Amino acid sequence: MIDVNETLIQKVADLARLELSEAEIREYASSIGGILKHVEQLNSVSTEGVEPMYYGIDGSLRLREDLVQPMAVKEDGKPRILETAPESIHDGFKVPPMIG
Amino acid sequence: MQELKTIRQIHDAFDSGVLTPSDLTRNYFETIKSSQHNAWITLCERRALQQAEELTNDLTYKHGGKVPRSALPLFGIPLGIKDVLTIDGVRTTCASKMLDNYVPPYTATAVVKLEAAGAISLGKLNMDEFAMGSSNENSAYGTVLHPTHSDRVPGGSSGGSGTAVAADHCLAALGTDTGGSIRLPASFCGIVGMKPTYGRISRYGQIAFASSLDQIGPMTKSVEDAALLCQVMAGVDAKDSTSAEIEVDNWQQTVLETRVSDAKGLRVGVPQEYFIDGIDVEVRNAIEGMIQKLKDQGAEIVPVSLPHTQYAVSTYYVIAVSEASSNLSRYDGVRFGVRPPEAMQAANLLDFYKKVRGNFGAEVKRRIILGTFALSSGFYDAYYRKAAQVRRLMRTDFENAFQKVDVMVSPVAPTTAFKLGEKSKDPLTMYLTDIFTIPASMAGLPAMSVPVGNDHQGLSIGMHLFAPRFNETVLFKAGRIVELLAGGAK
Amino acid sequence: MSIDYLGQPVNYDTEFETVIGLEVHVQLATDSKIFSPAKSRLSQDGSVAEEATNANTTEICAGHPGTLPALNETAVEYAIRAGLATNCQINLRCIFARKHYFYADLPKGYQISQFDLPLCVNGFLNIELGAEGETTKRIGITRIHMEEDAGKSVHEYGYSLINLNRAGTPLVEVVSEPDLRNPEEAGAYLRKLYAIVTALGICDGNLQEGNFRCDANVSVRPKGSTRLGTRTEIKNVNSFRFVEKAIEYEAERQRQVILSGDRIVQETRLYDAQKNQTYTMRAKEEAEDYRYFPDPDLPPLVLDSEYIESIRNSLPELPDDMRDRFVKEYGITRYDAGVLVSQKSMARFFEESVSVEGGVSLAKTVANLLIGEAARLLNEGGIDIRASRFKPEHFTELAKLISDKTISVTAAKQVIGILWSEGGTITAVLEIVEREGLKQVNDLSSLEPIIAKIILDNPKQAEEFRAGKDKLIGFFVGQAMKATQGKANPAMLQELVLKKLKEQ
Repeated sequence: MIDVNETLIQKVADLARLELSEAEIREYASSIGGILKHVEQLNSVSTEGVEPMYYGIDGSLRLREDLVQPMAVKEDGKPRILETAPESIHDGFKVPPMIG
Repeated sequence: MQELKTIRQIHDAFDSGVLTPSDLTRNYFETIKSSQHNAWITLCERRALQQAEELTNDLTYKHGGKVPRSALPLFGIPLGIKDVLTIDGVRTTCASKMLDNYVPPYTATAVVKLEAAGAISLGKLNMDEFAMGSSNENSAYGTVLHPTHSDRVPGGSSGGSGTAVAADHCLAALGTDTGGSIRLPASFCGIVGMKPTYGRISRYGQIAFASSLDQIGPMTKSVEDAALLCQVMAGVDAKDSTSAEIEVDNWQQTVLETRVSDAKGLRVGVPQEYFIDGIDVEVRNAIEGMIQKLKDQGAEIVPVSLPHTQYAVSTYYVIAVSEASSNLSRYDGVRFGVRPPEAMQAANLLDFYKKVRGNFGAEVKRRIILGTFALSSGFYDAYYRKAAQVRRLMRTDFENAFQKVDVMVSPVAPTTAFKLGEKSKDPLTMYLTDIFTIPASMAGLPAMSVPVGNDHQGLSIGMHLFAPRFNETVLFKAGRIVELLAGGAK
Repeated sequence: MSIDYLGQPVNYDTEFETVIGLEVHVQLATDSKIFSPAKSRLSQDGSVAEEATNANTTEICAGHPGTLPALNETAVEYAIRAGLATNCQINLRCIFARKHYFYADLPKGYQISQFDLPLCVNGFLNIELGAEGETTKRIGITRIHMEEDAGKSVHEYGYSLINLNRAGTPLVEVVSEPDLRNPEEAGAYLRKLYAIVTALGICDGNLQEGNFRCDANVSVRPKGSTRLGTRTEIKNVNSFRFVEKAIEYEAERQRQVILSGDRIVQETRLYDAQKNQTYTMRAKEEAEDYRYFPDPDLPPLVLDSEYIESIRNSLPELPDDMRDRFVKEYGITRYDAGVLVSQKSMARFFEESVSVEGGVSLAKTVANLLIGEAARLLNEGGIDIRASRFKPEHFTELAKLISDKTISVTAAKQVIGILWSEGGTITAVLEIVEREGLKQVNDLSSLEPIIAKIILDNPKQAEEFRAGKDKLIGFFVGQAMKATQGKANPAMLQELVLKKLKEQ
């Protein structure tokens, strides 16, 4: 059985890039601990040789014909995709410096 | 206007000239604006009135007052759209602070189809953040109130849809269902809520919670309207690789042709595992009462067993949160969404992400952490893979049981609408609300909630019906019989 | 005495062996992206036509909420071609998985890739080694899987800028077995793989544009050991020469680390071509937990063997087959043929040059001109022969002029240099020859007095030659060439010099 402590919650939250307050970490350690304890009941199910069901639908992947669709542009001819950008510069999405 | 309950009745009113789409749309906006239910996040009034006006012009001039109903089956029908579905140019928040400013550049396939059939989108309905919740208490835009009992929850996650339809803010609404998010609020609010087979309706433009479970469905005042909306939205979509290439029947016709007498010979399965201790006695009585009525009409009542039912919630909460943790990785404040001002001051990219993503709501963060854990190195096999195996066993349970029956029935939930705040402190108790709706989701079955009565406080009780995959026809037929037996929509 | 990383005492005389495995990312030349209908190729001819930032970015490419992937059938076909051409087994059921990591140019927070059950497994290709390519070595290919490319980040002062035009470009990642033992083998493997994917028409092959990118896993171990040493991964080197240099540097660095008694740290490193050094990018401890799981948006891809066979039957001629055919058909050397077929455009160009009547007799000369002077100029210019001013008929004409002794090989090289900058039609060759006065002097009567004078002017050398110092023939021929400004037919000149030396 997994020990769900605050260190584990912090580690997983880091992996998921979530900033948590100390109070949140405590609360999640407790609630997630409780949920995982309930989930442990799955260990009593015999699943040897059972094919996992990862998909909602049966059958093979349909393929798309290799056709290019024209891009949506704004009235000024700029790509529409930039409309939703929190910050953009030179038609790129702006982020804090990634290096240096 | 209150007496106009169904799409067919509205169309009759259009045809007789007593009503136009513009009148109807304006009336609904009045109702919405005077309501205290907090069912809506964003209204698209100008857009809707323009749609209505165009349709009204069509109605009045182009077709000499008569519209070919076959060409536009939803002509002039005002709908509410759960805020998990995108509409080009209309703010879509998913009830999250993270998307408070998000105006998508494209429209969900289901909405495209509805509008192409003549429907009018009134606005975006409140919900639990990222569709994660059973009570609609997890919205960044505030809790939605129950349509008739202001101290009660409407159910979640499509709570705004449930309340809006029940309180007549719109003729019908779209909900989405991952583990019961259409059926539970439908049951709590006293309307019809239908989740089609997974793959029936394109998920393109449905903001993902758990991709292998999510499905769009109608929430309506009648089984007939649910059938009509479902058949308009259903069908394969090249943009959704999980949409099924399976023929769509005329389900509205099925409903219109169904009589109470069609119960005769219908094999109705009653899963033993769904009638457990802890079900509210009034709920149990209502459901068993309806089962008795079906039997009285000649239905064959067959006890069946779904032995893995007890593992449903565990299985669901591993699979759904794992997929969710992955689906929600894209909210990083780079290409869309809200970027808190302090994020650009971040020392590095890691810090930037944490500042942006710290703004998810508490329940969403809980599920991301749980899902990230279940997929992480060293735990994947014990949690995610194991749950996916148990999911297969649950599906096999249904396949075996459906050898013997046409449909199955159960309560939608163990209780009627519970009180605000009653379960919000304990996530696990909240999760167990979905105990009867989750199994059909896990197996991808079509399922429906039909109102069959009220408890002593006047809170609605829904009967849960579910059918084999891609057999919506039998589900609508059975749903219509139950509706008729309960004295519902005529 | 130090202890090495395997716990063995370090013996300073130990001979080390380098073990290399390569992971190559090949961009597939489909029109649209792998999961979205956005335009994928910047250009069809491999030239660098810069698109406006984010002009080829749809809501799918940008990972907008609610969007879903739909797999491009041509990308699948191209990936299967790559697998068949490298002798892989094609899995008739393969699955797509999500690989999670956070980076600003990765739109969804995960990359759709393949993990368990990739499309192609257990293949190999043969590389030729030695100065003349006389030995062959088989290099195993572990797997070839399909995935989507990420976007590009541009780093400016105080911020970075994300361009998603490249996000969603289809890739295959070709993973080799650790069968390579030195930089030369790694280079030969990369050149062969490059020749294959360009011959298949599945990759535009523009290295500058990142169409073909390589990560190298490098470790060293005492020769004879069967255990693998701790490896480092050198990321994203996009020139064959730099891969060789990076591996050479890294293997030596590792050897020094071990000999100094330290351990190799498993890490990702980058190569700085200017300094010819590798340096740490991130250590393994900081490495991500990718949380792979099957993508629920993409059901398993199930293929039937009939479809695979139809692709196999439609494969174009592969480089090895083409090389053998060139040897047989045109009588050129295996080495020359190997160089020609290493680039599809070069091989085609060669065949067009010799596709005239009597072309086979010109093949050897054409091959030499292409592999020599033409290739030198193309490499310097960093462009494909099809993008240059060269035309196949230029080379046909040059080979003809050489073979009928109108011009010398030296003169032909001069003409090639002029064609490189001027181009022109087929008549340009002769025009240049005329204009530059490059015709060979084949007239004995005009050469004789010149040679006679040179012998008279250099009596000492003439004496020594007659006394048996044969090598001095070169001196006289050289002097004669100089006097005729290189226009004399060298064979004729040599014959005449010999005759005159004996006579005088």
